[in-house]
Amino acid sequence: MPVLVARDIVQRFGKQEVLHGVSLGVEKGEVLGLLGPSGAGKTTFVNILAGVAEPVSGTVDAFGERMPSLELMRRMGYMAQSDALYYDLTAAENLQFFGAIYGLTGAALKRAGERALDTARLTVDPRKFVRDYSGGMRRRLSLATAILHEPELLILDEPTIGLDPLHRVDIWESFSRMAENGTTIVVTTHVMDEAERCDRLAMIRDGVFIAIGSPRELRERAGAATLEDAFLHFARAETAQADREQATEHAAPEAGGRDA
Amino acid sequence: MRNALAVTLRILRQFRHDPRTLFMMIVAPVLALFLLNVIFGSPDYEPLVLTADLPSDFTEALQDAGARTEVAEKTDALQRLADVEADGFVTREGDALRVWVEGSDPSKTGAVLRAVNTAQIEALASVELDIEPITLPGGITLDITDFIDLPSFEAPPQPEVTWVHGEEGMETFDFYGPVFIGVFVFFFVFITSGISFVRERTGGTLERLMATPIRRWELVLGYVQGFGLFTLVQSAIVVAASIYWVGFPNFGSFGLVLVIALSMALVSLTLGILVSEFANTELQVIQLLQIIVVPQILLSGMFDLSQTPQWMQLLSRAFPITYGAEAMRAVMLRGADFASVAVDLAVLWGFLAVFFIGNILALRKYRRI
Ligand SMILES: Nc1ncnc2c1ncn2[C@@H]1O[C@H](COP(=O)(O)OP(=O)(O)OP(=O)(O)O)[C@@H](O)[C@H]1O
Ligand SMILES: [Mg+2]
Repeated sequence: MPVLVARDIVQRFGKQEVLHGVSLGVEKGEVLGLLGPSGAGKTTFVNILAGVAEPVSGTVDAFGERMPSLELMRRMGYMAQSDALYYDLTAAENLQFFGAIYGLTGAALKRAGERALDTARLTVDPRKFVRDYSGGMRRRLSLATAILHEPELLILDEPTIGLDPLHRVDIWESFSRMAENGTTIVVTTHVMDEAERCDRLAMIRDGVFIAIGSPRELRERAGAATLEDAFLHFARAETAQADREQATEHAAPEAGGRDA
Repeated sequence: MRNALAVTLRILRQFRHDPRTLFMMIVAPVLALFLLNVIFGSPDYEPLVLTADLPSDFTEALQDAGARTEVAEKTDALQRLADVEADGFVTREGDALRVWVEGSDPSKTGAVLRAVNTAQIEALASVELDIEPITLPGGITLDITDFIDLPSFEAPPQPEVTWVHGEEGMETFDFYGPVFIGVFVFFFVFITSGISFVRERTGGTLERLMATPIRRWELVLGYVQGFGLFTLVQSAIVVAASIYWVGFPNFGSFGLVLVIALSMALVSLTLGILVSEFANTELQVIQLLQIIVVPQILLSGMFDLSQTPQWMQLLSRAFPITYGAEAMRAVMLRGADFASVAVDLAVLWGFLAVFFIGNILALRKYRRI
């Protein structure tokens, strides 16, 4: 049974429809990548998965139960695209605060904090406020707060943006290790070499999934050497199909007239 | 509940790391109250009145009435009034007095006219009819005053005044002081809480929190507790400084004044958070403050509204500051006890409850549960 199932998610901001009824299932222990250009709707989609936004229609089930639910959120971890840290607190105080909400205190909190910082490859200065951290350090601290309570399902929105290649590789190794231990991970990216490391990829463009499958499968189906080319292939195919659909829609009423 | 405590603890930590805000919220209101008290506590203004062709006893009467006088030619005097170097010019035209005033500051104009009026009464009172005895031919002296009483124009004796509330020597500002205490606490708490919550939203931490198992009411309660604890300290310092240092008269109980100030602070806190829901930047919080708090302050009863149109009086009843100001005045100026301000306090707590629930509902925008 999939750990996470999203069905027919539609999201709208004002008049603009950002997600046009997308569905996705994620298996336990899988690293699922959401790959797509800027503005495709990745953040909008993962926010709905994490329960921090309500879709206009559609449902999300996590661990077989309907979201949003506080009980389910306890088992999930979420890292937002913005760092979402308290800049006027130290790293330890940020960890303490988020830990306390998951019921972590005292020695357990200390141990969890050390482990999370280790996974995020961050060493912190106990006196330094987060506002004085570099962008990459904040990113890693943000990751640490998301994995602090050892969630079974992790939702990460561009976790490695602004990170140097060395830290990026390290952190992706941490993801693989967590997945091996049974953690399910949904991660957005627009970096191709990161997409390559995912078990499965969902390519998203303009609020629709244009292809879902393992990186290798997708490359083969598109007959492309790289994921980048594969993305372009599926994007073109999608555009062509949309055009055809539009053409038949427009043509249908006039069909008789043209034959005559 | 545990989560609310976590939020409270976090807010207190943020305060601890931010001494400037702490300083601002406590020192700024006290400083403002102190300045106002010095301004309003200064001695009354002595207008400079120029005179021409006036009898010396009238000039003296003007001085007794609190004016500085100087003799001046009419053309010269009018020029000085035009240059705002003097406040008034008094001279005689036929039997009547003729007065010019500079006129741009009504309080100074008032001071000139008051001095002239007082001097007129005094000059009248000092007129003494004195009729010399007449010596008739034959050496008989006839003193008419032996037969009739001469009318006298003595100034009426000072009436005896009893103060039902307040005391002799209260200054104008003492009437406004209690309102200012409440207004300042309200104002500064609103800014700090509003901005703090906008930061939470724009920094993404609010959304981040909504991904944790915290309940919406726990978040709001955490905020109210954290800021509430802080505003308790703030209110206590502001009230104590106003009464014991600046010297506002207080005829009621200090504790009750503090309860009212704290209630106003809590209303302001929850209103600030609610309003920040409609602001996307810190600047917008200040703009909303101008729309939402400034009218409340103007209609709080700081200025007498009893002669204003009905709609304005009704509008002022819809504002929480009005009730706080009323209670503050009742306690500090009239020594009212808890029972007499209970209604005002109940209304404040009603506003608090409404805003508190409003905040919980506003967070539904992020998460239904
Ligand atoms: N709160 C909002 N109000 C209005 N429009 C929004 C809002 N959030 C997102 N959008 C719009 O929805 C679309 C998708 O945005 P989204 O943030 O999901 O993209 P994304 O794929 O995460 O992009 P990026 O890679 O740049 O993060 C964009 O056109 C964006 O303008
Ligand atoms: Mg995004």
